[in-house]
Parts: sequence; C-alpha cells; structure tokens
Amino acid sequence: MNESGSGASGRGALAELKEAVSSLFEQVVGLAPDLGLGREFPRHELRVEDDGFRVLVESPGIGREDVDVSVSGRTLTISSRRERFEPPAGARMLRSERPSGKYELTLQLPADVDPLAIVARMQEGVLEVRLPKPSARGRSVRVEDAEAGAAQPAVEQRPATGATPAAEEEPPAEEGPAQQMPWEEGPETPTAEGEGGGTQNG
Amino acid sequence: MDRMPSDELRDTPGPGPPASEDREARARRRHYARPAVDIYSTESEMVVLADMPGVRKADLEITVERDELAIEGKIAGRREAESALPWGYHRRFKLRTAFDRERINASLREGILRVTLPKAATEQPRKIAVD
Repeated sequence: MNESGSGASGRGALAELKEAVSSLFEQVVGLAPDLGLGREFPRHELRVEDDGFRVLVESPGIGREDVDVSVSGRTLTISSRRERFEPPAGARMLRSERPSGKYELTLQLPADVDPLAIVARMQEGVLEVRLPKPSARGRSVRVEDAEAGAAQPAVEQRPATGATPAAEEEPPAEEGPAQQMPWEEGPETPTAEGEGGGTQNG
Repeated sequence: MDRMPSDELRDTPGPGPPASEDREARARRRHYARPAVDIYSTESEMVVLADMPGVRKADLEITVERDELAIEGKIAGRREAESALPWGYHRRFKLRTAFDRERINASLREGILRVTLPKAATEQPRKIAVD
C-alpha cells in the first residue's frame, strides 16, 4: 500500500487506488499456492504419436521424488509439488513471480495405453511421460527344459488380446500396480557453471 | 505484499514489431514466452532466477549491454514439432545499478537459470571510520 501519505491531490488518489488494486491482486494470486489449493497447472502438452502418446509438463526445479504419475484406464493423472523459493536472509525481493505449491493434472487419453510400458523422465526441468499403446506384436517366451538343463529355442506366442508388450521392443516393464513409474535414466545433464556467461558489450 | 521496488531494476517490455520484421523474428515473438523470475538484491549482488524449462546450456544466451540484461534461450525441437509449448524464452531488464561485469556468472540447472550480478564496489555500502 502507498506509504507516502500524500494523496491530497486527485492524481495522488488515483495512484493510490491503482496501487491498492494491484497489491490486492498480488495478494489474491499469492495466497493460492500457500494454501495448497492446486492452482492452475503448469504448461503442458499431449502429443499423439504413431505408437502412443507423449505428455510434456514444464516442471522447473521439481525433482522425481516430487512427481507422481498414475494411469487408470484412459485417465492419466500427474501431480507435483514445488517448494517456495526462499531468498537469503536480509535480501530484498525485487521480483517474485515464480509459482510454488501443489499441482494436479488429469488428462483423458484418446486411446488405451499399456500401463506396464509407461516411462517417464525429467530433463532440463521438463517432465516427459511416454505412454505406448498396447502392442499387437507377439512375445517370445523362452522355454527351459528342466531335464536337459539348457534353454530351448524360443516359442512364438501370440496373445489373444494383444495387450502384452513386446519384450524385445520395450524396456523391461515393472510388474505391479500401474502407479509405479519407471524413470528413464537419461544422460546426466551437465550443470552449466560459467564465469561471465554470454556476451558482454558496452 | 508491497509493490515491488523498481529502483534497482525495471522490466523492459518486448519491442513492437519493426516494419521489416522477418519471419524468424515474427515466429519468435509469437511463440516465445517471458520466463517467470524471482529477483533479489543484497548489499553485494543481485541475483536473477528464471524458469526456462527445456532450454539447454548450448542454446542459452545471456547479454549485458550498457544498462540492459537480456536472457534468451531457444528450446530444441519445439518449432519442428509445432508445439503449443513455448519455442523459447526471452526477457530483458533495465539495470539501474552498476555491476562488476567481469564477474557476472550464470548457471542452468533443472530448467532454472541463475544469473549472479556482483555489484560494483561503488554501489556497495562503505563503512566510514570515525576518528
């Protein structure tokens, strides 16, 4: 709020009013994340690809442990939590725009996906979830001969509904509830530290 | 919350389209976003933290020219994919404090850009000894 205490002239009163409105707006917008009300979700995108879907969610500063991805039927739910930024003691905030709090996004997928083949990865602050469609391909099954003590050649097996993932194509799927989210181990994104980064002119 | 002080720094709004804007610049203006920032100031430095998810170090440009700090980062693959997500991020600030340009440094991690601008010695409070 305006602390100058002037406001005697018409122009001063208008400025005071503007400040009051903007201050109130900032307070209202600022309250939601603190109360964990689940504010508007970060930017995200659903991409339809030939063999499935890809969901991208902007998640700067959010680690794997703060993200939960689950699929139930064709409903995909992504929730995440971002900590509020705390400046060092005694620092003066000049801008405070970055959001924090809990987010939850629910998407209806246009088609079935294979819950066991879903993988997620976090790269440069972008969460990427790949949801392959159920594969119609057969799955090779190794048959072991107990007496001979060695594995027999694989037997081609075509499942009736085609819901089983092709073992040679997909990364090893984790058994268990669909909520388990296998994380892809991508190459380590090197931390970019530099002195005098970028061009400096003038 | 008090209105943010503007004595040390001021946002520069994006430039309007020039008469001879080419397709590249026009696409950038329409598809780039301004990153959300937290900026704080201490006696010795100003720190800018900007959310720029998807930007890789190699595609990041930070420029300090005269009294303006500009940050820009293109996100690989977004334009080709005709993504609805930003194709990049850019933002400029007018600096009203003198900085030690040689010691400005930046880091990019988990999609967050951190630019540290050490204040010039003249800007820092100087204790005056009293005889």
